[in-house]
Amino acid sequence: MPLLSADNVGKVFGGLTAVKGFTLSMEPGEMVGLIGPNGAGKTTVFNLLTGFFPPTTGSIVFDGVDVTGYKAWQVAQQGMVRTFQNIRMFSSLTVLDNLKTAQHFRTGYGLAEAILRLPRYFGEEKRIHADCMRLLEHLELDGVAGEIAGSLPYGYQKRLEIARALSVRPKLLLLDEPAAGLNPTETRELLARLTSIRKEFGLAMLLIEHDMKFVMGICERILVLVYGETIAQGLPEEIRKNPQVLEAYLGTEDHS
Amino acid sequence: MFELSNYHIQVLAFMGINIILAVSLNLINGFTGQFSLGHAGFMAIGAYTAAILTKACGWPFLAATLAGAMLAFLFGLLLGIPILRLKGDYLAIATFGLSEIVRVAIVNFDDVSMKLAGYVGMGDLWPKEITRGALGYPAIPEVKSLLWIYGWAFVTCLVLRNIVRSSEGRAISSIGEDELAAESLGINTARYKTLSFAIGAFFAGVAGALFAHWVTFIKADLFKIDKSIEILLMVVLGGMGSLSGSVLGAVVLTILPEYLRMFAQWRMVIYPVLLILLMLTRPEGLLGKRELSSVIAGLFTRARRSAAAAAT
Ligand SMILES: Nc1ncnc2c1ncn2[C@@H]1O[C@H](COP(=O)(O)OP(=O)(O)OP(=O)(O)O)[C@@H](O)[C@H]1O
Ligand SMILES: [Mg+2]
Repeated sequence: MPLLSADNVGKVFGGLTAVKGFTLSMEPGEMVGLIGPNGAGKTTVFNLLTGFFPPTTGSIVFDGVDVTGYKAWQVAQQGMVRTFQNIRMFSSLTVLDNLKTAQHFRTGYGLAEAILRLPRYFGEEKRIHADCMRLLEHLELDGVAGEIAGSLPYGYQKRLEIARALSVRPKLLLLDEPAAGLNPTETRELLARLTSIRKEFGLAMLLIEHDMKFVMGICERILVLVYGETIAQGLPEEIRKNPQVLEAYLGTEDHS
Repeated sequence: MFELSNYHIQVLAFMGINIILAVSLNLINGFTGQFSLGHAGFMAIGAYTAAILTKACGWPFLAATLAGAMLAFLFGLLLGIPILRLKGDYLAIATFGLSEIVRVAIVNFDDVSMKLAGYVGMGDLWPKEITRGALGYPAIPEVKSLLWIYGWAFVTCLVLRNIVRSSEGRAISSIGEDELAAESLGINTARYKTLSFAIGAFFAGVAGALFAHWVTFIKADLFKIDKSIEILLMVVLGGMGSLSGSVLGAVVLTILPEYLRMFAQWRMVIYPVLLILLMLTRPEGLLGKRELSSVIAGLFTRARRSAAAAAT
């Protein structure tokens, strides 16, 4: 059974068709790339899959559950978690608290236990703390665990956003341009890190990225979106040679 | 022996009540980031409910206080669900409207409830005077005890501190930080907005009950927008998202007007000017989002560092 199967998903904003007939099936642990020129509808696909917008058409089944029309927090609790194109930190919380927040719905104590400071509160807080510290170590962020997230350099914040998403323990991680704004060294580090995360946590990833080399280097399969429509999908080398893709995508691509 | 005059005791009492109000509003406005201008409305619910229960029904003070607070909590819960879908200015206006409705309902409660009772044939059984309308509610049993007030202030601070430093509190704070990011991590933001609104309302209800039994005479006009703004200013002064900041804000803004009383005619000039100055020089409030303890700890390490630097 596939982990994710999106069938004919579409979105219309007013008169604008942002996404049309988006169909994707992903197996557990698979790594898929989603590319396309500016305004192609990539972020909209993320918003549809993760419940930030209700789709106009189509259905989304995740991990055996029909999540079409679910709210964003319900989708996240099912194990499909996304990051944002423009970083959305909890800027005045510490790095550690950013990660702890992501464990909220799996916390085994309630409000009364928190107010009365019952033993379960201390036990769970200890577990959450250890769990988040381990994650921070894995992403080499343990050195800044106590820092205020908003005070970190951009590269760290990008990494922290991934760490925070991982803290939810997703089965599928959706990354919206994780390499945007990173320098070449940081980009290479990110590439290695994503590979190791995938091995360590055994999760599937869907990745939006402008940097072609980046996507080709890490994804097993690539989808190309142009004006909301999927014009091609296949192995990286197939995509690289596809004339339609070269024209529609690379033709408009000024950097890369 | 230093004796506190009645006047000083009164100021201390209001200070304690204001601490409860400011700290609880901070949960809503500061931590959850939901701009509420309706705190006085919840205070009114607590005040009237508790006063009616002690005076007309002979309930003990603590039970009446808890009942008033619970009713405010329920109002917060039920009204929070639709109202908290609004954001920013719209939410502020809606919460203001809400507290006005509470005030008007208190004023008209006797007439309207009497008529309703008449419709269902209970007109003879229904008490003629419950809230006593615009004239106010007099002769509430007096409970002039700083122990009660500061006991409750302590409980309020402790409960809110324990909430804020818990998983539930992190969910609440994350909404104030970035609502979309919170949703993306599986947090049911609508639920936690409502919960924080209702918890804030609960303690506003407590403050109302304490206030009613201290002054022994209340009327709906005491719980107008002026009161909500006064509480809001304490929160803003102390720092949105800092519990100890709100305590500080409540202390300062209880005492300051007392000093300005000497220049009574200038009060409405000095007060806003001070606030504008604050907003210009320190918009995040005295403590920002930090707590007093961490600020003091920071001062100590800085002092130690400069001492060490001087020694070498
Ligand atoms: N909430 C919205 N309301 C109306 N139109 C929208 C909304 N979100 C996106 N759009 C439109 O949908 C289209 C696709 O936008 P989207 O952000 O998904 O593109 P993208 O592929 O992520 O582009 P980029 O590479 O610049 O991030 C654009 O024309 C955009 O203006
Ligand atoms: Mg985008």
